[in-house]
Amino acid sequence: MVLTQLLGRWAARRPHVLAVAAPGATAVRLAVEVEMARIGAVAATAPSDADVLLAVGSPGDELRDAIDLVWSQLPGPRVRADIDDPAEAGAVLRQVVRQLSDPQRAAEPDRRDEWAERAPDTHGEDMQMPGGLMMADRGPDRDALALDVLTVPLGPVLPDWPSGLVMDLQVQGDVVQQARSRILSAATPPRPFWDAAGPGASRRHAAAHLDSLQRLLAVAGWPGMAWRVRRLRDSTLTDTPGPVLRGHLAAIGRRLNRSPTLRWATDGLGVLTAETADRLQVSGPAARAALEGGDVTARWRRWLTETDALLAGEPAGPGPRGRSVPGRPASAGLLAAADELAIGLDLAAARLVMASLDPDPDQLAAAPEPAEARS
Amino acid sequence: MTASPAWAVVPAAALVVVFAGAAAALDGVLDPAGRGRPMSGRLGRPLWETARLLRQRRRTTVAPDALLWRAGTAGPLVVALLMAVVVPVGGITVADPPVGLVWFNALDVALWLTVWAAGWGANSVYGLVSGYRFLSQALAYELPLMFALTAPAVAAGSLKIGQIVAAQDKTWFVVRMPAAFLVFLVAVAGFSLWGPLAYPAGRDLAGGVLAEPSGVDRLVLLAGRYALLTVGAGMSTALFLGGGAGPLLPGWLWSLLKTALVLAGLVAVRRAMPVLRADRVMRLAWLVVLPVTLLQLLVVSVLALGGS
Repeated sequence: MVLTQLLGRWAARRPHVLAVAAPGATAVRLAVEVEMARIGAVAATAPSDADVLLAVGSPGDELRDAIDLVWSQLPGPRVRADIDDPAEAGAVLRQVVRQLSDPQRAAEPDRRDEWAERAPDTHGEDMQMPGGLMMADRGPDRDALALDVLTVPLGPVLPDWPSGLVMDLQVQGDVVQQARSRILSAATPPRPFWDAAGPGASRRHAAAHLDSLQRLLAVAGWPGMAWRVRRLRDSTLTDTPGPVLRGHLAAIGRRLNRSPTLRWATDGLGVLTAETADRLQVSGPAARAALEGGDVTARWRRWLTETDALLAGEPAGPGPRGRSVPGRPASAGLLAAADELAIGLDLAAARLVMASLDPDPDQLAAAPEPAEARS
Repeated sequence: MTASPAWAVVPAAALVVVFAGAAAALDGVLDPAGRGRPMSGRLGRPLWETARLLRQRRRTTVAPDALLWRAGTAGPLVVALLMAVVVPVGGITVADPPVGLVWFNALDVALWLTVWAAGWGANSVYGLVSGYRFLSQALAYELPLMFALTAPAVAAGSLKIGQIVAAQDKTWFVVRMPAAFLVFLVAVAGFSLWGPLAYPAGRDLAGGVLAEPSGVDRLVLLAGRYALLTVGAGMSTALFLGGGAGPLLPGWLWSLLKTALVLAGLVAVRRAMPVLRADRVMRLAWLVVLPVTLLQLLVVSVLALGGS
C-alpha cells in the first residue's frame, strides 16, 4: 500500500499528457503548452505513452469520436479532461495530476481489451480477416513491382501535427502513393487566432511563423531547438521588447543556418515551384520561398527572415499564411500543395513537407469544404 | 586479465543498470524543458519515469505477433547485458574469451532482429515502418562499425579484449586510430537508437518502435537503449582509451571514469542536432565514412606490420 502510494506520487511528478486540439482552439492550445511546461508535464508521443488525455477546444463529432477511440487505447492509470478556456488550463492540469497520483486510479478495474474481443469480420467471399482487419490490396509501385498498398490516415492525433488535420494516405512500404488531406470540423465556428489585424498584428504574425517553425523542428527530431523556438513564440505574444526577441531569434537563426544536419534533412525536399504556387493560389512565405529554391530549407529560412522583419516593426501583411479571399483561405493552397508534394516521398519526408507548409487549420475549419476549392 | 566466477554477472549487470540510470538522470538535467525547475526533480527523472511505467498497464494491439513483439522489446536490454560480459573494468572482466570482440559484434548484429521484431510485432504501421527504418539505418552504420572494430584487433594482433587493452600500454589506440574511435561512437548511438540516430524511434511516427508498447514493455525497451549506450561507452574505453590505464587511481576506477565521460558525451549529443534520416545518411555512410574507415584500417595494418 505504501509502495503503491509512493509509485503514484513519483509517477505524477512527470505526467505524460496527450493534448488533442480542435481546429480553432489555438489560444487554448498555447495556454495548455505553457501550463504543461510549468508543471513539468511531457507531451506524449502516442496513446501508449500517455497518462492524461486532454481535449483542447471544442471538437466536432468526428474528432470527438477519434478522441474517444484514443481514450480506449490509453494503457492507464489514466485521466481525461476537457479544456475550452485558456484561463482554466492551469487549474485543470493541476487537478488532473492530483487525480493521477490517486491510488484508486491505479485500481481502475481492468478494462476489457476491445481488440482481443472483436469478432473476426467477414469480407467479400466469407474470408476471415485476422483480428477483423482488412488485408492490404496490391498495386504497381514506382519500380513496376506489385506491392501491398496500405491505407493509412495520419492524424488527427499525432504529435506536432496541425490540429484536426487528417491526411489519408495510400502507402507502399513507407512511400506515399496518394494523399488527400482534410480538416475535421470544430463544434463551434473557429476564429483564426493568427490572422489578427490592427496594432498587434505584426507580433501575432511573427508568433505564427515561430509556431510553424517549432513544429517543423520537432518533426525534424530536434526537440531541444523546437523548445527554444516555442519559448520565443510565447514571449512574442507578451510585451517583451522587440530588440530582445530579435536577439534570441538571431541566435536561433545562427544555429539553424549552421547546422549541416538540418540542411541534410531539408535541402532539396518538397520543392514548390513558383508555377505550382501560382496555380494553387499559394501566397505568403511559402510563395516567396518558391523564388528562393522552394524547398523545405527555403521555407524555414523565409520564416526566420519574415519573423525578424515583423519584430523589427515592419507592418503586417494580409496574414501569416498569405492572402485569403472569400471561400478560399490562404491555407487551402498550402494543404493542396502538401498533398501534391507528398507523392513519392517517404512518411518522414512527407511530414517535413507538411510541417514546412503548415496550413492553419483554424482558417480551413472556418471555410467551406476545402476539397471543392481544390480540383 | 583474470576471468571471474559465474556470479560476477550479477555485479556486472548491476553496474550496467546503475550507469544506465545515471545516463538517464544526466539526460534529464540536460533537457532544456526542465530549466528553472529544482535540480532534484530533474535528477530524479529516471525514478519518476520508472515509477510511471511500473504502474502503467501493458497493452496490446489488433492481432499482434505477441512472441516477436515481447521478445523484441526485451531484446535491447538482453543484448546489452550479454555484451557487458566481455567489457573489462580495469583488470576485471566476467569473461575474456579469445573471440571477445567477435562476441560483441555478433550481439550488435542481433539487434537487427530484435529492434525489427519490436516494430513488426505490434502489427501497427508506425512500428512496422520504424522496424524497417532501423534496418536501413543499420545498413548505414554496420559495415563501418565492423571495420572500426577490426582496427584495434589488427593493431593488437588479437580478438581477445584483454590483449587489446594490454597492447595499449604505450599509446592508446584513439591516438593511432581516431577515425575508428569516432565511427565506433556513432555506431553505438546508431544501435542504441539514440539522439541523431533515433530515426527508428522518431517522434514523426509517434515514437516509432516505441509507438505501441506501454508499461513494463516500454520500460524494458527504454532501459535497453540506455544500457546499450552504457555498454558501448564501456567498450570504447577498452578498445580505444587504454582500458584501466592511468596514473594514481586504481585501474577499475579509471575504466569507470573514462566510461562515464564517454557516456556523458553520448548523452549530451542528443540535443545538439536533428535526427538523421537513413535515406539521407546512406550516401554519407557508404561514400565517405566507409572509405575513411577502410583507410584507417590500412594505416593501422601498415603500422602493425612495421612495428612487429
